Amino acid sequence: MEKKIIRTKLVIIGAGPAGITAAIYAARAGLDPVLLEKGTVGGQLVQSSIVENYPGYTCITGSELAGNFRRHAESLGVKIEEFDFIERIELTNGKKQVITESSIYEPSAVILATGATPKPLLVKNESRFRGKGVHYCALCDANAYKGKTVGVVGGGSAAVEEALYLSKIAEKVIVIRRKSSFHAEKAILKKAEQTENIELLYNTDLLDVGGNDFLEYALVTDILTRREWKIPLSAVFAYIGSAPRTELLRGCLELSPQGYIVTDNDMHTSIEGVFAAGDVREKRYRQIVTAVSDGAAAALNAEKYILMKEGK
Amino acid sequence: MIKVFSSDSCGWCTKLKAYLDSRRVEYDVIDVAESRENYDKLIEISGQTGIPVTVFDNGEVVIGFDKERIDRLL
Repeated sequence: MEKKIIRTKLVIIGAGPAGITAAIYAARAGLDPVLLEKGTVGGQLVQSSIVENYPGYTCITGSELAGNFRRHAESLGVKIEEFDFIERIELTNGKKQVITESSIYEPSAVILATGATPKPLLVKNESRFRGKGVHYCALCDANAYKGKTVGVVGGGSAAVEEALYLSKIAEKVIVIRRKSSFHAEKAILKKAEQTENIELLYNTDLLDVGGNDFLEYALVTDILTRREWKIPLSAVFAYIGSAPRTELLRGCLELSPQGYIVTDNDMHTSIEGVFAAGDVREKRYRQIVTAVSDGAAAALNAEKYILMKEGK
Repeated sequence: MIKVFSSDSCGWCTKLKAYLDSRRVEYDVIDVAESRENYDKLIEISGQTGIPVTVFDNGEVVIGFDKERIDRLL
């Protein structure tokens, strides 16, 4: 099948909080943005059981907030292409092409808001027990472990939030933390400390997981004493951070050693007319609210760039 | 009829169902959050507990949203 060539002003890649916000701003500026998403619309937000730090909502589920974002964009006429996957991206200071299964987009400007994906645990038996006790989304898979003991690996807000979610379903939740403290938000950590069926293990590193057909235990070590022992668990949920989704961008533009897109404060990347926003960008804080802020700045600067190109 | 094991809180399940809808494919939804029996059925059919899982009329099982495989089986 020959691909359609679509010349457009702006293509936004990624429909998480940053990409959707960019689409809202771009639609209001009359840029008719095309929004492409391979994963779930809402990005990682969809996998958050609860959000308590987004202004305007004291408490909202991630999927509800993502749904609100989506409806807002769609109400402005933004069309989200979520089933036409990107095959290749070619970005130069001049021509820009985004090649999908059905089309070749040739936009004047591109906003990259591809976000990040959960990091794997990188233990030997991880792939053997994937879906059989090793999971990356408590919201999706927790119900299989009603009344069981499960583990959470990680020390950030996502890990502790999901431990709180799991504590309502599982009999007991053991949070395995490699360091001597958590870097989760204090408010969430306090809740976890006060939850009877959550146990927080400090200075404990996950070495491997094991079992027969399904996961039965986690092998851990005490970082300080080097003592190793097995914790009987039915599942381990991994929340040890995320890695940028930049695999299609390698060689296209400047990335940090960790693979994040390098930008200036106005979201400009190393390529003229290409902007980056949200978790995929090299920066210190990765929050929903900072992603939204990036998305707005990227769209406003993309608009400025397009107007300049058009000689207006 | 195609069967989709899913739950309302699972984002990839929502995406999979939206895709089947876009292809105008009919399917039955089995909500694993609803009962233990549904989970046991999921484990029996797919040998694992992750969702979504699509079971085709010919017995083929697709774990996750694997668009390429789903397209081949539709």
